[in-house]
Amino acid sequence: MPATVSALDLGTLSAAGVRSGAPVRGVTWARVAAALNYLNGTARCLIPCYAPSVELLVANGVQTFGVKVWPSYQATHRLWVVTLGPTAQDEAIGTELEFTDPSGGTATFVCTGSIGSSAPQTFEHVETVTSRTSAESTLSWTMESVTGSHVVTGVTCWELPRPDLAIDASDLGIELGSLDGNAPVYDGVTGYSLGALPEALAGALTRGRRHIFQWAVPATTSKAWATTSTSYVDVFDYYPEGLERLLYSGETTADVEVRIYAWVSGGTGDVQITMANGDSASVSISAASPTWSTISGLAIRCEDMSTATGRRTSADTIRVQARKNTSGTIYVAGVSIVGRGS
Amino acid sequence: MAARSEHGYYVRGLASRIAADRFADAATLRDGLVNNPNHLADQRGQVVAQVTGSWVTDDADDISAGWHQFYAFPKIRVLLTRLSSGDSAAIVPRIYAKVNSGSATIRVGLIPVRGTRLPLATGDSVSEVTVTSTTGEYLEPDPIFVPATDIGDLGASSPWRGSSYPEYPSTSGAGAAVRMRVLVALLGVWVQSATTPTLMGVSAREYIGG
Repeated sequence: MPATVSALDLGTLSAAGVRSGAPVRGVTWARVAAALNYLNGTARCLIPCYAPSVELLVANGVQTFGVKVWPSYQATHRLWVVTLGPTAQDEAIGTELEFTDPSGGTATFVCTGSIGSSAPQTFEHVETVTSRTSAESTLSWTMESVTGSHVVTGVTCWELPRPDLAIDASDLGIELGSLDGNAPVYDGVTGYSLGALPEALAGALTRGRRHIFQWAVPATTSKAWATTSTSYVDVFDYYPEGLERLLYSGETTADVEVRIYAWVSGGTGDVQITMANGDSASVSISAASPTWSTISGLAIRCEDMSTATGRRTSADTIRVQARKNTSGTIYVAGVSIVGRGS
Repeated sequence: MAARSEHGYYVRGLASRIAADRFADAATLRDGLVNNPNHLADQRGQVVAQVTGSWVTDDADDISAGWHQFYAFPKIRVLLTRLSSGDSAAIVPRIYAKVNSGSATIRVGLIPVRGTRLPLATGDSVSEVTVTSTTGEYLEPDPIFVPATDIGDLGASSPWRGSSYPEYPSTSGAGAAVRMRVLVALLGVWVQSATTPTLMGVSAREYIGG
């Protein structure tokens, strides 16, 4: 019987309720277990809505987009939402676009009319995840204009919530009845009783890794962002907001993971990430074809739990810049900024 | 006494005292789940939008007198997870915009995904800021709430009826579709201006305040 993922009810949890060396009420443990089932089974945003603003023509054929994610093993389905627009103002949107999700599922988006009409231009597609993992992965999807031309104006992707979890070492579901008052304590049985809580807590902490910023366009010379400048140039005019989740008391910053999908037309280039708190890091790009590069240990501010908005300052921003060294061009087709696991 | 759970003991009293010491960092459990459940509950503070680009208004896309949408601005559909059925849903927005001259009022709001495109009235799940910069400025509208009373039970009388999203079953079998915990909303951005405003970025995170 799978473990129920119920609504989160923290009404009776209190700081005094869990102290090392002190007795903990059985009902507290039961509520903790229910909270962990909720955290391990809830919805999760992998790609915050971003604007590729990329034009797709029939002649382009299949175009591939990709970002780096740390998915949840528990997720069996993902929701994709794609918004399309025309290639010229007040023109009609192309009538047919084929979308293929990372698991190979396909959907045909049939569009009519122009922006401002009542015709559907925002499409939902539910992906059935065929390969479940929690390891760092490349999430790749494709879009192809089949009839007419399109501009992809928006893309977002969510892992959908689960109504229940398998009681095993992967889903980390906890059988809630095993924590009822006067219930026997199980020794070393996965998913049952007090022993199940540490593993589920570790899983929930790791699963809560925040996907802070995602941006991807097709990795072609015509559609990727590019510059020949030997001085740093902003990839985005808008500096996205970047706040990592607060996990431990007293901390104000935390390291995040950055992945850059880029290449150069000979020689080398650099991509630099600068956070508002002052920390910055860069990576040298030398690949002649699109390649993922890694920047680890970049510190950004954590949320401030004493403020309603969570902001520590009014400028918790992420600045992404790139430059080409000597001559040639540097191309950037993907930026993923993801928080820590635990 | 051995620091492990003992088969045959009962949850209350002795066994629970043992289990508290099993956690490598009891403070983590206390801080993460008890003191500050929101930051462990990752849907709070979760980033739902990071939109960068450049959008201007189009007179042909008027919504109502004086209000415009930004042409080709993406339809930001967000899933707002709620802790319980009696919980509100909320986001914290941030925008980057400029004007050619004068000022522009930008309104950000959450509307049912299957609802109206109108920018709603002040106080109805919207927040406003005024743009005056001609080069670009960051603005932080107040957090936007969809009150729990508005959401209700998503029944026929709720304006949010049809704005939930089903949960998917586990691979072990079909589960009941419980639709109360995930709310689908559209993050709308509208502008009222006699000048030419340009929107260049929108970020939004789920609200973390308790």
